[in-house]
Amino acid sequence: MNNKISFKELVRELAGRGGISQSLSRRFVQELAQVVQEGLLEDGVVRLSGLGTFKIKVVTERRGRHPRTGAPITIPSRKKVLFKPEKALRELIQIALDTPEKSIRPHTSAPAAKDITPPTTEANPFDAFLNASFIDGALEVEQTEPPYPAPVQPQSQTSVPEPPGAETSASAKPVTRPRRHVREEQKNRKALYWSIVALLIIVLFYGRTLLNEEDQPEIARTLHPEKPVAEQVVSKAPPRVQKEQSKPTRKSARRNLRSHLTRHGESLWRLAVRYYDNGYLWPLIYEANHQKIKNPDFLVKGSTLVIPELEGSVSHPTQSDKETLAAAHIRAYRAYRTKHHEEALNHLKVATRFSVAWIKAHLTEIDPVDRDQLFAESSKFID
Amino acid sequence: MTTQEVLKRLSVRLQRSFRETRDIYANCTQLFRDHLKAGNSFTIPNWGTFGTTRRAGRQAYNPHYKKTITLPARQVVVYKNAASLKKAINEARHEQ
Repeated sequence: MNNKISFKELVRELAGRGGISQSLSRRFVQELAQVVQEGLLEDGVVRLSGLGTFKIKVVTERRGRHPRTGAPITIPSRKKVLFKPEKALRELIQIALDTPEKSIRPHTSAPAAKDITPPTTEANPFDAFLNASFIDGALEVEQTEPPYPAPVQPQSQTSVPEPPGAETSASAKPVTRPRRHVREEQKNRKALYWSIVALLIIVLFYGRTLLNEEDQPEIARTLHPEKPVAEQVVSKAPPRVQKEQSKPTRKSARRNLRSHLTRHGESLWRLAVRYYDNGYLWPLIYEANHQKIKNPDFLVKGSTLVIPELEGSVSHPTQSDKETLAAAHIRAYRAYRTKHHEEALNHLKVATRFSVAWIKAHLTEIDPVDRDQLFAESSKFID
Repeated sequence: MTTQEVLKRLSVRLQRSFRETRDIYANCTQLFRDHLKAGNSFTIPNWGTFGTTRRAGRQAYNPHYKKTITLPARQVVVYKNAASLKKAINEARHEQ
């Protein structure tokens, strides 16, 4: 808890988030302080959205006593700067108190287990990421359970009918507080597990049925000729080749469009859902059309986009597919780096799942601060 | 002074576009918020120190309903002026 962050560190982090130089971010913060001072001198009040209001308050003259001699003195009127945090900030801080305290540095914070839907990550790594957080949570609970065995519960029940005063004094004690937190946490975690398990089952089931659908014509083809078993074994190899050949043609027959004219209200996510049945693949379209798309969150109406196709499938990408996916996610990372840093980091993590080699070859595109963090988190880069 | 005015001045001084300044500003405040949320404190020269502290829960009295109420513990933002800022503001008063 209560770490003191040095100005230098602050500047470095700001530079990392904004994708700007450290000298610029240092100047920015310094000038911001300067402008705030000017604003206070000119208007007496400065409102900064995202933080709160700085205001000058005049403290009137009052009579006091000299602390050492006890002689009566008048303390002259002076001005003070008050800071009132805006409501959102106050609530944010309050939430930080209510949720179990972890000394996470915000920059390196792994996405909290609670935000289940970061909208733009690829399906499989995203599942894996969910799994990872799931496992983390499970481990944590296992660790926290032993120190607080079952008999704790009746104790808490007896404490309920106590008068409110006693209750607060109890809650102020450092011992009882963490317990309540742990219990709430466990409850939350359990609910989370079940929802995740249910989600995974649905996803798996859906995936199965999709696979079955694709395999069925193949099975039908092999079964139809009704060849003797021996022959069928021999002829196993050719149909497999045939399958691979027929796959793209079938795909392109079903989704004939390989280019797309954007219309009102369309987004990359929706296009990815339409052409790949998977919204998380939107960076692919973005990568293929990055010259036309300035902002991936906003498509211009009436431009023609290329819809690239994967050589393999989403579940079994080929090597070149992996590279394009990695490249696509790196591009998404760069697009979001200044706007939404956590999102950008998610893209970066997803990219590492596809092709570490590609990222190694393009390290210059990644901001040094993020790169260091990536190295620290991922063991793949150690060698 | 509003955020817009602050950003306008900043963009002139840093010789950056308004948009760019605004993006940096958004990142900057986000960074501050993240640190405050994590319970970290930081000092910005010529501005002040930001941090958070815990206010313990307490008993209070509502005179209207003549009832004692329990106020829960709170986490609040604390801000302390930089000495230079305090000085600048109080000196300006003497000039006036």
